[in-house]
Amino acid sequence: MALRPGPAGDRVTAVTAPPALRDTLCIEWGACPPGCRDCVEACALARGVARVTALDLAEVSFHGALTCGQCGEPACRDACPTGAIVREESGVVRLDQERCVGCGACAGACAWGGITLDAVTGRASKCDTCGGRPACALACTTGRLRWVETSALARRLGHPDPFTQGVSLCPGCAAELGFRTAFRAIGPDAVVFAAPGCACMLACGLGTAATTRLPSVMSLMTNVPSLMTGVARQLRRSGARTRAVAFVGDGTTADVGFQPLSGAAERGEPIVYICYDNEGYMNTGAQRSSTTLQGARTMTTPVGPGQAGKRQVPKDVAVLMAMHGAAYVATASVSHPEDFAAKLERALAAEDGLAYIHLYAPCHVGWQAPMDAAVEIARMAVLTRVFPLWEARRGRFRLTHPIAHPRPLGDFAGLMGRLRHLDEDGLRALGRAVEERYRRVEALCAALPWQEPGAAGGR
Amino acid sequence: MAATLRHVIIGAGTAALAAVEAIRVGRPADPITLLSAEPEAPYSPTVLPHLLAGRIDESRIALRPAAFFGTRGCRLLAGTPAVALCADRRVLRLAGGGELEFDRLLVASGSEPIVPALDNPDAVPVHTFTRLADLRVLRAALGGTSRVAVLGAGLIGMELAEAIVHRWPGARITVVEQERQVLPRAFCREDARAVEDLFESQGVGFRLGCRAVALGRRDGAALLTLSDGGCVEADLVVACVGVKPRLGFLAGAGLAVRRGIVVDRRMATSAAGIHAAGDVAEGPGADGTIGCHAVLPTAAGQGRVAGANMAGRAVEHEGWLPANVFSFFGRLLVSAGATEAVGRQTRLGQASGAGRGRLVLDGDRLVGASFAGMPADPGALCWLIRERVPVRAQAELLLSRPLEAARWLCARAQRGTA
Repeated sequence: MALRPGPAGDRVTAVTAPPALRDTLCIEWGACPPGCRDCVEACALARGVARVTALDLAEVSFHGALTCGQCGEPACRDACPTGAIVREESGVVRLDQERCVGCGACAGACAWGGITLDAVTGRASKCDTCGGRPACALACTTGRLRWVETSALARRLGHPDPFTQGVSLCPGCAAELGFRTAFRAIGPDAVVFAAPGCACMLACGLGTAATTRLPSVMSLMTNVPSLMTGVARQLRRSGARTRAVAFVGDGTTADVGFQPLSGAAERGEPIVYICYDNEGYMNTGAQRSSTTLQGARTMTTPVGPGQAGKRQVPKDVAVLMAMHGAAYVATASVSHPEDFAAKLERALAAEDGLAYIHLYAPCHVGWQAPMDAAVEIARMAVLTRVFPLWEARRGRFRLTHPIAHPRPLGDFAGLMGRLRHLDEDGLRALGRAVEERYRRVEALCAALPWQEPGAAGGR
Repeated sequence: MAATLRHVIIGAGTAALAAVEAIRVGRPADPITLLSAEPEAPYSPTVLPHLLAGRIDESRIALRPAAFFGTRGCRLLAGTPAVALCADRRVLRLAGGGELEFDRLLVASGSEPIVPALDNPDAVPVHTFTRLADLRVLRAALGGTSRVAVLGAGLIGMELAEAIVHRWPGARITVVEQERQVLPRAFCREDARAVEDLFESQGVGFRLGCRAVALGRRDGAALLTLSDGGCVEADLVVACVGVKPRLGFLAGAGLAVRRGIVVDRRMATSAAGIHAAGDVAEGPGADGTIGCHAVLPTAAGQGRVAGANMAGRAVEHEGWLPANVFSFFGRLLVSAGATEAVGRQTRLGQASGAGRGRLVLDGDRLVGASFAGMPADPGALCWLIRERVPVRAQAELLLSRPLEAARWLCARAQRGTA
């Protein structure tokens, strides 16, 4: 018999994973004010039937809201008998009311409270994020229900990851995450500079096997910016747009190789220098560096009768670099990739001098934390003010993530073994130092406020 | 796992399409062929009453847009039923004599209507209502004052009756059901009673606790004789007494078959490389019962699991759970799990105004729930039952505000903050 081909004939189209959801509603669980129905009323007004549920349950002292989470593989779509539910390229799961027969199969398939059958209209309804301007989020005055856009981040990280898989860094390494993130933002037009340390395995490979599709240069710990100076000047001379970008650790940056970095900043070399700060010499077994937090237990700052971890406060290299009047200086954290990507953009745009980014990249091995803890530690460092996020152009400062209500320091310290020996007095002392460091940045922002490029006051 | 696997799916309904999505998650380039017995674009029989009622147009019932098969790299052979399976040679014989080889086969052939055994069966035509072809026949035969006999008061029979009332308010409908209530096994006695009252107020008549036993003709109309000695005259007889797995083509294939095709939690049949899902599969329920469960979310879930396993991922189905949503004349009836308490289980009920709720508890756990005339979330209730979430402390809240309370209990357990 002759088989009638279907619409696709015999052509097989490669289908990748379902599209990723970029922008989403984010509701802080159970943190709504009692009796508040602003989101529900706004949704009902905008869309006829409310697609967000107020879980306003005074009986059990719970007050929250719930809506569809736009599943990657939506069970409601699979159960719908009229094909009324479609997952779009944006990741939004949309219900076409015109096709809905009100059978309720979708509501029976969803365990997340995301889709509701209304007996009066005889139709199901669900959130479709109002095309990116959700009425509920616009109406929420408490900030508990927010519209979070990650499409901007996706655009900022638009380049393919230039590094191979299977590198020999520890699983869960924040430096590797930061390295990959950085070059997804920077793109292929760069020469990578590395120095001995964890990340050189990613930058330069192992033995004769390259791990990156970018040209990379392995330098010594003592001369990264010097080597970069020559390369960057030659690139500029030849008219190339290619940038010299360093991705090196805190040992190289703050201790062993600080002098040439200071010199390059003062000369105004057009290089981009990223220091991933894991607060120690992690490649050789977690010895202290000058950026290690005071009180931290390391291999060379033990905890015992005579000593309780590192005695000195960490060297604030980013502030030192800003004090050089460098073209652009910023702190960033692996927990805030969008902020990091935006700062990389500004670093690349600062072509009239040196750009320095100090990236907070916790080492879960050296800090004695679980394998999956690095990003959470970094997030807590930001939220507790341990690591303030700021940027400075030509010595003029602004906080990019002011923390008005810091989380208790214990939320940060409790995540890792290297601070576990701190008693209440120890934590209080650390808290005072943390506060002092944060206030120093605040004071710099107030005294020397940020100026947009082109405004008066540059060099 | 082989570089390329040839997937063949018998059927193009809910389970089949869910399987396609699941295969494509892991295997973007494998060829997939779907065989549909019917000539139309794939649709679900669930929509038939809604089409008959005129609530939706036939142009809006395709389970997937025409472009879907192209973008998913599938071949759809519509109007091409499978007629025989040779499991050990991994070959499928098609209507017309063609053969199709496969590496992985999914049997998702759905179900077919059970035709009631009646004396004198050929006296008048007895219609069924599971295909678009049936719909066209009924639509042509129905008129403003038709007398209709519906055999069976399950979901299909009741939705059919509701659709006819909606579209032809002058029609006179009699529903015959051998159980003493409508919607048996789906809803409890009291809820069913309320449904009957509402249908009767719309002019629908019921003959409960008896079966049609014989068919006859009188003045060109059908004359049904009932087991209680009564009789019903009708211009049109529609049998909606249930469905059974469609597996005629499997004769001699060597698959283990009881009522349906026997499958395990991975939807694997007794033959290597062959899976089954949806109405045709006889698989484990959430409580360990083995059976067929012809309900949409179950078909979708089983299809997803079958597809994942065909693609080489070891995924298990959570087990089907009885769950029903019935929406009629602007009222909503929802049930999940057990409808009656057995043994040491307790049953709590509450009525407020037009709404009624009932819970069946086993110790702290919910094993069944039903709500009538108030907003409820069947998916959340199923999840609480399935995951054995303790709810006794919140039973009162669950009865008074079922939708919010069930969603809160689910979300709290899902977040691990219980």
